[in-house]
Amino acid sequence: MTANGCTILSAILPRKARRLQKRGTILLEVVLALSIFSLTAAIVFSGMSASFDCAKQVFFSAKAADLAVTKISEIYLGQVQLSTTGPNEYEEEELVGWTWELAVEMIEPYALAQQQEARTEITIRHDETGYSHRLVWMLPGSLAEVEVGNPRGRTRSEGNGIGSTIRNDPD
Amino acid sequence: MTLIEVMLAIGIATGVMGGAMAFYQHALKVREGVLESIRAVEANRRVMDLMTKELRAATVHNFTKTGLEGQADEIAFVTTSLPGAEAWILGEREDRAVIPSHDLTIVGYCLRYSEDPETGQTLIDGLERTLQKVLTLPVTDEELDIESTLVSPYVAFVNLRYFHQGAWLDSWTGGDVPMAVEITLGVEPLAEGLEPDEYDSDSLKRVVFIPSAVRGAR
Repeated sequence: MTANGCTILSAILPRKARRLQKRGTILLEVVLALSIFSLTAAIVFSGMSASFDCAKQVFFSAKAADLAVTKISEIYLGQVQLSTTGPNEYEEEELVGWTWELAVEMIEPYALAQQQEARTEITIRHDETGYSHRLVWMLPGSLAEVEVGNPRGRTRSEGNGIGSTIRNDPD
Repeated sequence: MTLIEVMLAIGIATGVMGGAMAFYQHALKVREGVLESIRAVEANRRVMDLMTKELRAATVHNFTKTGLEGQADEIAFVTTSLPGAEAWILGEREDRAVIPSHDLTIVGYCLRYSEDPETGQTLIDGLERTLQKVLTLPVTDEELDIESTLVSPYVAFVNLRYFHQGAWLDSWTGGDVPMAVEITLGVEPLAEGLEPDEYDSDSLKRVVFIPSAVRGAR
């Protein structure tokens, strides 16, 4: 509004109306300032929240990778049956909210190979956040025949480590 | 504009600027804390992967009857590894002296400690990896024959357990390897008076199966 306009308004409007208009302008300025402040604070807080989420994601990723490797080891140790199963919940208190799932596909041996292999896909999920981690591993198909829950059983092989025939020996 | 108004305006401006700066400082501190936490998890994950890779290749050295020896907070084992790049370079014998290298090495992990010069307190520097490239040395000079590296300054807690024949053991000795090793790495040190299995800070834990254990019957 120009100076001339103000002069004209002051001439036309009564004194009370001019005071009310000034108050309105101040209110508008305050609302505008508050909006800008709120917007800035929201942006900063969302940035901080994203940082926290990122840190949590990194931790979940590391934990899920550990759980997947552990599950592979449990299959080798005969503590988990090599078969399609899940999603199953973990029994441990510190792993509440985490689930694991196995998808096993037997692959026919190629010409030179003497035994079947099992394409094993392990999926670890965290229900609350929806985070999931997949690990695919080729395991000897003979592991599917290992009896689970035989802690006294000694696992031996008749061949060479991973690609060998593993069975439970009851002695 | 009166002097009071000017003083008030300066006061308010200073207050607003101070508040904004304090908020900025706080945000910076939080961001730095989050970044540090991410760095710690990533570093410990890399260490965990390295230990996993080496443990999966753990084996028994038949000549010296060396396998895996470990306690709750330290471990050493024979592992297989490819010889360094220099071993693969083809050339005439007189061109260069070829340093003999083995495909078996002894690798160890333990916490590295130091003493605070001012307070005399014992500090944890992180996780140390030792590497002995020649297994059959008659006398081992720790400084010359064993390389020592601080692989992660973020590890302040290590707990290892050894699985064999259906039982978890706190230590493993002898010329053989167990069927699996459970590794727990934590960023915070173990509080005084607590047992390792009572460790309550965030930690990474995994069980690593050792394939060579199934053929080396104890």
